[in-house]
Amino acid sequence: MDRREFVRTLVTGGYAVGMAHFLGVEDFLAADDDEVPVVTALVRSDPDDPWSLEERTEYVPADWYAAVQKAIELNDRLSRVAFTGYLGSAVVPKSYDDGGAAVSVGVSGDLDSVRETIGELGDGVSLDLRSVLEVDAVEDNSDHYEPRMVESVTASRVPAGIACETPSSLATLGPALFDPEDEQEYFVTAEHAFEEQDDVAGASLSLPVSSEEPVELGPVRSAYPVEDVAAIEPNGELSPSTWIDAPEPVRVRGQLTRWGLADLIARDENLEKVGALTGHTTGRVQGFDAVTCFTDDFCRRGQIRWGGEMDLTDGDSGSVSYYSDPEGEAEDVLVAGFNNARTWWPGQSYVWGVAAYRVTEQYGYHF
Amino acid sequence: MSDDRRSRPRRVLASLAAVVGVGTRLVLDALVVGLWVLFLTLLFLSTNWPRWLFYALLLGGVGLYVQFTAWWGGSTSGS
Repeated sequence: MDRREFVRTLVTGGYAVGMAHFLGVEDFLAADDDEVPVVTALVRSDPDDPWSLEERTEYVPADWYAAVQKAIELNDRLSRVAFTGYLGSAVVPKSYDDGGAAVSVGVSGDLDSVRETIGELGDGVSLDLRSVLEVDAVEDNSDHYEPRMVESVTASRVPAGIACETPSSLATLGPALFDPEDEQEYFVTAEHAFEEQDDVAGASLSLPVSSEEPVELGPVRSAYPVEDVAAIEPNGELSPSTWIDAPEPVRVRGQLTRWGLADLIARDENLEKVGALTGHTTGRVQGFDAVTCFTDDFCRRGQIRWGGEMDLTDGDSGSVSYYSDPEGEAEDVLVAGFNNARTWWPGQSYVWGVAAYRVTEQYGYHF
Repeated sequence: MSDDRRSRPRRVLASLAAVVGVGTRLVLDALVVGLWVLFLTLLFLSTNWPRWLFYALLLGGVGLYVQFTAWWGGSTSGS
């Protein structure tokens, strides 16, 4: 091969390798034999550009993945059958070494007959049946908490984790929610905080200020009762922020996906939250893709279970649970979901709320 | 000199032809190599073969292609 041909080989070889990388070949070639890639989070490459979300991929053991996938399907099927006594269920992956997953089901009634009804399960998927006593919700003693409010309005952006006010109740303000379709940012809080309004759309959300009059944040643009989310259009004076008012302020850099949450559960990781009443708390993630039929006549899907009963009280609704991002800057966090309610019956203790991935799947909004 | 007036345009034409020739070959190379990369990518997507094999086949294929087209087309401007 003469010199010209050699140069040609080099150039063509370089072009071939470049094209292979462009096609994303490394995504599947770099996996170990027994690993598969999953998208664990959507993260902003530029923290100041809300639309610069990118997928983050990680590798997980193939057998663990298969078991969790099966558990997700089984959980979904169970929730659709909604046999008598079904009150809710969730997917609980086991650790990576264990390579399996469980579906935790809450039932009221006879556990054995339920087990028979469910029938055969797949390999690696176990069933965890819990009896739920149908007790009435206990009155909350939120009187001993002082709602966290701003002292005065100095900045133009309002951080998440502080109190906000609907015409009828107090709730917690979430971080800025973005709608990629119209490139808009919204204030967000729990929809049930507007429960007593005849018409939630258009109802006003305000920011209580300790030494002054409350400041209006804007009207509700869209309300989602099943997901328990209300998106409020900023009226111009104040804007939502990606910062959360934690003891050390943190910034939302994106959100976790379904598999990101599964991965957190497998690794026994914690989520954190900042609520207007109980402030900053942390707790273990306990389940994802959860279905809850404990409140209302309908079931809510795509929920997360984490923490414990003590982590939420009236007024904390609307806050988000988040995970400290090990791959980002020190102050970066990824949102897991909203906090809307908690258990009150004996035997189980967790907070639940709709997952960010569910809101994104259903309506396109993201953090 | 009378010679220059005729050979200069001919020399310009000859170099133009060389450029077009190189251009066509670049496009052809890009196309063929591109198809080879695509083929290997799809093949490796469906099998569980190791990474080193992908790059070995990729660059091996490129090397063979260059060799093959080198004899076949002859070199561009005399060796």
